[in-house]
Amino acid sequence: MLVMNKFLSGRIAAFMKQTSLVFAMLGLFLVAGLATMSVPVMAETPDGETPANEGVCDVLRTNATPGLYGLCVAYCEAQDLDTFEKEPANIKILGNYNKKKQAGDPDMPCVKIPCPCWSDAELASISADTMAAACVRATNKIQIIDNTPKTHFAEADTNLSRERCRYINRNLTPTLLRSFSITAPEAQSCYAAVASACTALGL
Amino acid sequence: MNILKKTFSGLMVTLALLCAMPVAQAAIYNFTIDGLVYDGDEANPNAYGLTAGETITATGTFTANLGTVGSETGTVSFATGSGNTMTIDLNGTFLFAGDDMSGNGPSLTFSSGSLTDFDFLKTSSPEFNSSFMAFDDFNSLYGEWTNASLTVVPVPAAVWLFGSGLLGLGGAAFRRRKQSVQ
Repeated sequence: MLVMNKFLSGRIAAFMKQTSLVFAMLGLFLVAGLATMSVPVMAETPDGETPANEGVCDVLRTNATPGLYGLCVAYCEAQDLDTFEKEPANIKILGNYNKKKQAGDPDMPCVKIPCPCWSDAELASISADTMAAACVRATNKIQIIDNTPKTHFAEADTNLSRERCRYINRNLTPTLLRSFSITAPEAQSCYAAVASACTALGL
Repeated sequence: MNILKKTFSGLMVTLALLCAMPVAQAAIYNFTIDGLVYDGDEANPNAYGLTAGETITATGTFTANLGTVGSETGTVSFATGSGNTMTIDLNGTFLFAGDDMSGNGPSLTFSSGSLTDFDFLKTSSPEFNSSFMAFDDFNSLYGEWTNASLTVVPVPAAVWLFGSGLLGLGGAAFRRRKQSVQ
């Protein structure tokens, strides 16, 4: 009996020791998992500032329906990331914001308005070849153009009542031509895209 | 004799003043700008019946201070009331400055004697859109402005002589009146 007891207690001790190790490992995995899940929250936005710090949602701090400010920060922070993984969450956040929004509340700030005339890839293709691109500016208008081998440009005009955008690529057959009268917010978006491309090229 | 002397000296003073005037003065310009169509109605008919290889022409007159002749720099507005005129011939369909009813109207921008921006916007049918050095019809018509020429309209010499003569005579009459009062 005594031998049996000794055997059992030994086995129990070994089991307990093993179980502690297992629990310790599980605990480690849990901590590691929590740390991994929290990484996106700690991820930096491209310009290093969160929308909360940039003030883009400050308009909602006062005189707006409670809860809109938090939704705005969440949405704008996700918009500020250079990834598309948050896209479904963005749509949901935007949907919640619009449901909560009441008369007098502003629309969601930092909603990215695409330029109707070109895609990001098409804009980038203007300076993608090794030929030099040029940037031309006039009052509230801007154009990025590459004339080699044939005319290829994107331009935006934000002048009041003259808002328009244009994308031409004569290197394609037939020529790709998109030219539209657009809204002021669209014109601002188009202008910003071209201006950003020009700045990136040092033009 | 005295009156003749005074008239002559008045004329000389006027001519000297005219020569000393700075070059940068508002001048009257005639302009002609040619455009070449690269994409016309081969794929899609356009309202102007323009095909690739055809040309369009913009002509007109404006008064502006663009600096030294041959190095013109600045923007000229053709808005209603500016007194400046513009006619664009698109294969027999003519558009005028007044057809651009958006914002501040059409304009031309020059830099060191070269055209850099031909701004025209007509959004009613038949549409016509021009910005920087390219034009289109918001559809499939596309072309580029290729040649712009400016010519200064000379003021007739007789105008200067007439004006200086008037000044001289006026000066002489003033002095005569002054002397008779004394």
